[in-house]
Amino acid sequence: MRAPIFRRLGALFAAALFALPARGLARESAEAAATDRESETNLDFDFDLFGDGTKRSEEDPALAGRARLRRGMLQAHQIAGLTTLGLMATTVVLGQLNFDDHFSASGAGSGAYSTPHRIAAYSTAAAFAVTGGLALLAPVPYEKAPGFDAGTVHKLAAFGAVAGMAGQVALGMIAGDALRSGQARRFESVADLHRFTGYATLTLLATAAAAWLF
Amino acid sequence: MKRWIAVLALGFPLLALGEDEAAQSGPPSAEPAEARSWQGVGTVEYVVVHPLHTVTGISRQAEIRAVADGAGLKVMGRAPVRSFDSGNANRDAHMLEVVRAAQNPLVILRGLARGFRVPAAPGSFDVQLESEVQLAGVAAPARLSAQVEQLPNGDWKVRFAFDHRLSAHSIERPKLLLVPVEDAVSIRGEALLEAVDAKNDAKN
Repeated sequence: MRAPIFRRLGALFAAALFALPARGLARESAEAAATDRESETNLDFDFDLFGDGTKRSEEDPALAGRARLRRGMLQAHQIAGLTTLGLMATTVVLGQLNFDDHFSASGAGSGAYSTPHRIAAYSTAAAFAVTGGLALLAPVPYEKAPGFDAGTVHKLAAFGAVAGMAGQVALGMIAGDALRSGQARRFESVADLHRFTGYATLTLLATAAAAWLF
Repeated sequence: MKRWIAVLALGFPLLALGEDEAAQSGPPSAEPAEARSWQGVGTVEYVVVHPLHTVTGISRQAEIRAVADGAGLKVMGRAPVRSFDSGNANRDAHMLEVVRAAQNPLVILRGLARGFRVPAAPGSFDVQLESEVQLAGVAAPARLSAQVEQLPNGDWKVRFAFDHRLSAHSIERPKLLLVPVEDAVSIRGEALLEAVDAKNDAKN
């Protein structure tokens, strides 16, 4: 009789022995899960300490469209501008070769560089016109703050290059006219001025491109 | 019988231990700390790197508020995107385009430091904040570290910094001479936050 009672008591105690710590463990894991849930809740950033609402405004499709158009036009402006710079450098090299061909002691006077120089010059002028047009016609969705900065330097250099380029074309035409009419001294002095303004214009274009690096 | 006495002798301490552990893992008995708050204006700047140039844009209109209570520290900062000055108006206008400033006029940061307790005495301490940055209409996580100097009057001098990515906000990286800027952007700033009465603040 004693043996079954002790067996039952033993079974109950054994159950209690394992069940209570297990209950404690279950409680712990439940609390840990609750803490995790609380942590996740705490990472909810949906609060506003300013209390005045910091919501986004309604999208303005027209403004977004103008911004996209401006970005596309200014990307094209960069490509056209770098192309212009390359063409201008080519024109200056060919112009120097043309000048040497005509006026240096070792020059053959063959006129071999005349046509390539002219083609390069007109290509440069065309590329420059496209470059300027893209910048001037680009919409301005966000007004810029006034003041002197790299953009101002870029524009000043570009407008200087416009003047230089116009002068180049005019001086080139005058030089060609002097050559055709046999006015050797006039041809040389105009060609020399044309050469000088060519280098100046190239410098201004390079300045316009490099302005953005500062 | 002796066997059961031995089992009982071993079992009760185990039971007691189980209960004790359960009590320790329960909710903290500490009473909720009194909420305290700070607010102020500071500077925040971004640094983006291009292979040919490094650009720094600074805003001096960054507003920051912080609240510390029993749960931890909550911080919120914001600055108008138009207020950032990189020293080049053209570039700043371009920045407004890429962050879609018309729809998203503010850059907003919200940060949380769970379990944070305000030090009782003046001194310096570091805080790590799990944060969310809202820029260009897209929220992205960030981990911000701040160095705080608690002044004798309770004000906080704060310096903070974190690294972030433009791509996290679906921002098309601007290009200079056809080469885009790097995706990584460094953010840093500083502010003087004045301690304010949390109750008055809540009423306001």
